[in-house]
Amino acid sequence: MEEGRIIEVNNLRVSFDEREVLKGVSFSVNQGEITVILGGSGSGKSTILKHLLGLFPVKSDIVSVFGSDLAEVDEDDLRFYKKLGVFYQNGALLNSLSVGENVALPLEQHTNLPAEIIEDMVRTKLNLVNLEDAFYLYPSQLSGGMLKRAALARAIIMDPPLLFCDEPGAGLDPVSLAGLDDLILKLRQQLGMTVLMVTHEVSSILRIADKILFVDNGIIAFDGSLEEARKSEMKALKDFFTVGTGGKR
Amino acid sequence: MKKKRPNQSDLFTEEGNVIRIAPKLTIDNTPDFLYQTDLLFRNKKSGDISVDLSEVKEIDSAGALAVHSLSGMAQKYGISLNIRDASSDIQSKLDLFKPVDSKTTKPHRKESFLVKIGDIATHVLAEYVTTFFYMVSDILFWSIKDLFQSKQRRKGEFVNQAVSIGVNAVPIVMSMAFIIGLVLALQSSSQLRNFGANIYIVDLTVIAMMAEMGPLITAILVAGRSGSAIAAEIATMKVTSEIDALKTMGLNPIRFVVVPKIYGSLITLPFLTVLASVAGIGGGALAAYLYLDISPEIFYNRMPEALYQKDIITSLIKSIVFALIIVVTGTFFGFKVEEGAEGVGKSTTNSVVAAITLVIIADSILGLIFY
Repeated sequence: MEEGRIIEVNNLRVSFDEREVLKGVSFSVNQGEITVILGGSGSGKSTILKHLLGLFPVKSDIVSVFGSDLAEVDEDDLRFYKKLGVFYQNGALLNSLSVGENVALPLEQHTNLPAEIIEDMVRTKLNLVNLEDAFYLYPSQLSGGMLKRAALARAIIMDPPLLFCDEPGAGLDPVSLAGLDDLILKLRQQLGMTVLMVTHEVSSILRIADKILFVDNGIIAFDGSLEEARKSEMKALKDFFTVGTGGKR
Repeated sequence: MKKKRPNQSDLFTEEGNVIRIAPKLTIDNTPDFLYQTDLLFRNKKSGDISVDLSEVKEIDSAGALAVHSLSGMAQKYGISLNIRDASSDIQSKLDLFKPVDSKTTKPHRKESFLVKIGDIATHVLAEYVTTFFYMVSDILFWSIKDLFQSKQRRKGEFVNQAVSIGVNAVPIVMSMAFIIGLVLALQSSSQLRNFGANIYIVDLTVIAMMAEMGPLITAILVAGRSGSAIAAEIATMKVTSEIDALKTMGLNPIRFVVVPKIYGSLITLPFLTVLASVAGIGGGALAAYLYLDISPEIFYNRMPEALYQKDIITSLIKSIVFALIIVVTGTFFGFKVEEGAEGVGKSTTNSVVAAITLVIIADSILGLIFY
């Protein structure tokens, strides 16, 4: 694996029953970058993400994360999984636990830190996502935007160097979405996180993306910087930016 | 293999009153760092200590908060602490991750015992009893109305529910009733033999199975099997906003979801009860043949003398009441679901417990009425 590369995918092919969803996907993600996987509904974006997270089995020498071949990483390999933070589309907070307990959960389960330090860490992370007053609230008491921010606080509680975001902006109003983008940029800047994001939100992409991977028909049809993507003449990608920005590119 | 704990020297070095922190202080070694520094401060008891961060190259939120926590720890042992020489990068992390002075505190209400009792009673009355009766009236209203408005009825749904609640339950209900009938007759046979009253095993089995055990076994099994399914289905529909979607489409959820289940259970439970009673009597007949030498023919000939029409009617009335209890309870707890997966689980459990309890209470009341 080349230096500075955090993720490397080589010829990832995935079929469900007879249907080939990914037809040989290859790309890499560099350290400190915000990489966005873009594509139409059903193009295979989330399938790529699930393979990178080890939620689907992969064959040897296909996916490498932090230099480890994902095929050889155990499901309970904490040293590997501690390096990953995952921010799910619907937040995926446990409804039976308060926000504070949700965010503290990975620390309580995977570290021997004293309770006071865990509480300090949780409050610090909630403060970072502007949710310091929600410590004792339950997920059902939060708005959509607050729920996303609480989920982000949980995703970064272990200070992971790599953050996966699965459609983080889905269902948010433009102001909350911009706030979430600012947060992700802040995390990248202050914690040096590498971010791999699956999203449809063009406004969000224009604000934060360094690199675009455009998935179309099961392949990476475009792999380049945001500037290159905006200037690209590829029709499907051009349509995305044109429609997503209301005709302005 | 147990992980080796790092030595103090891997975490910091001590030179007089200066503690020099090691280059890496992250979530992995922070617990040991805190343990070792606590040990050190405890031994020092008092004096001045400088914490030198000049060699620290890597620190995360756990490490930064551990450094901040040293001041409090030192204060506890009467030590004056000075944290110094952090590089700009490390200082920025220390500034970013510092304890938050939160104004929020855990909600805590101290109330007297009587106030708590009153709160619970009001809550139960307002949230459960009233809602329950509203729901029962709603179900009755739509069940009757639906009989006369077949156009709006979902095609095939009644049959689906009848198959799901009734037909699919036949094997388990019959086999359980057979076993219970067999065991009941078996336990009674030794006592009857002592009195030379072997033939009364027929009366005992037939009356017990027809008037009591048949409807009860069927209702308990259906409550566990279908009552839980009804509660889980409705609860899931509610948490995933399917119920709201029905309402906004102008469809009454009670009519659309619950009424077919009411019809399905009302039609099939009496049949299931009869089958359970027959299977139970069959089990009793087997025990009578094996242990009391009463042939199936004698057993069969004696049955009309033991079996009264009243017992059959009682059994059928009970099965109809039990069917209503099971569906209404499942529906009630399904609609009372709280958010999330845990809420669905709780609703399902509560529905089964409540349905079985109510079935047994109703059985006692009906037993007294028809005695």
